[in-house]
Amino acid sequence: MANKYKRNLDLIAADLDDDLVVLDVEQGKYFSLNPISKRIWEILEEEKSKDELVTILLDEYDVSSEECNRDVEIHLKELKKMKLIH
Amino acid sequence: MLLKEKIPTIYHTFLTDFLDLEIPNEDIATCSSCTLCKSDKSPYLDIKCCNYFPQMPNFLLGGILKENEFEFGKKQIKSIIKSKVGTTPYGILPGKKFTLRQNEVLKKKELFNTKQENADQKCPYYDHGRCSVWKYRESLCVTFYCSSIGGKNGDDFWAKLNGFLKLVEQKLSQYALLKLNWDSTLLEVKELKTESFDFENLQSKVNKEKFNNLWQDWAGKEEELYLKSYSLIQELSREEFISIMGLDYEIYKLAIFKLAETFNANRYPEFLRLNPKVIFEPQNNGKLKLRVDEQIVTIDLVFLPFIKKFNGTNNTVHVFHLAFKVLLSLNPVVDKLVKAKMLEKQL
Repeated sequence: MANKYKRNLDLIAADLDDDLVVLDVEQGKYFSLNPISKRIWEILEEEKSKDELVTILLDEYDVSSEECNRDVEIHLKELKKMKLIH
Repeated sequence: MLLKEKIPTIYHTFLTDFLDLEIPNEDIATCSSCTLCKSDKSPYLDIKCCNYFPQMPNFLLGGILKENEFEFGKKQIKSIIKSKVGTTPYGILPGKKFTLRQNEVLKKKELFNTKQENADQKCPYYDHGRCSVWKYRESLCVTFYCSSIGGKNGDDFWAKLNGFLKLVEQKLSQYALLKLNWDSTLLEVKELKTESFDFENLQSKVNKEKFNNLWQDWAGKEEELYLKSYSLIQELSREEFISIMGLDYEIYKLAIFKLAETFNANRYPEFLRLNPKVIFEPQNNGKLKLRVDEQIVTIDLVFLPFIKKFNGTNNTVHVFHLAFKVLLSLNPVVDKLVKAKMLEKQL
């Protein structure tokens, strides 16, 4: 079964149009998300698998499937490392 | 706004010099729509900025006890008196246990506390989003703003006013005790702090003998003392007040007026814009250098998205509120950038 991802709902965020700034009060850390990470963060309000995420993004961005898969993998890894998603 | 809108009415007879002093409206820090509560996940939602135990002087406590309203505030005061924790003839101070916890929290570098820290430090007079002693609030509660529309100039003004009101509270509480025939050799003349008293320990256990020694003949009649203190202050004329305050009144008055002038002159403009000549130089350590001609300002990178919002069309208060969604105060950064002419008034 594919892994599902969901954003950490305990975090506080400020939407600045292109960017998103996120605060993890418990960690005492700020994170600044670029537009792609921000979009992934928004989609992951509901639990999604990586494939579901890629499907949504392919619809929104003019990129190849291969490129999208690769970028989503990188962003998910980064967001997980920052504990912004589970 | 006029300063009289901020100063509690109990002081209006005494502080006539100050009442019509004009100062900028503090539009960033709005209590009714709390600036620290812009996110529904803010750890300040249940408390706003009221994670502070007020140091209420005897006469203010008497005012609350005398009024027909302030039921919750009165209940809290009576409960504190019953416990004896922090309960002195000068007024009610934070207990030692609370103060210890407060000092630990204040050592933190971050602007924000966790939800639990806030819950532990909640003001006893905070009642479901409202202050239950507002009319008789103490100096810090009168003058505190989480973010001033005047930046450091605003902070300096409010800090000076706080110092003045604190001195007023101290002198009037001492005056009341003197009039109640307190033993002058035992009357404290310096600023009162929780540490000044030794009748309770860090576990909030009160030594009854020491408590009674402190209260002298008034032990068991604490409420009565507070009420009498209030009556004595109510009867004071302005001339008597000025005499009690002495030279300090004149010194503070001059300083407050001067700082008000600077505050008014340096209020943040309604619209700010980033100087188009600014060059951004991200550093490896999470910092960002901004450079214009010979001027260099270094800020944390996290501020960049907010600084970019100062584009001449976004209202200054709006950008500050955006930052407060993630509990970021833009004041120190905006002050630096305005001084370096990297942020300018949009003409």
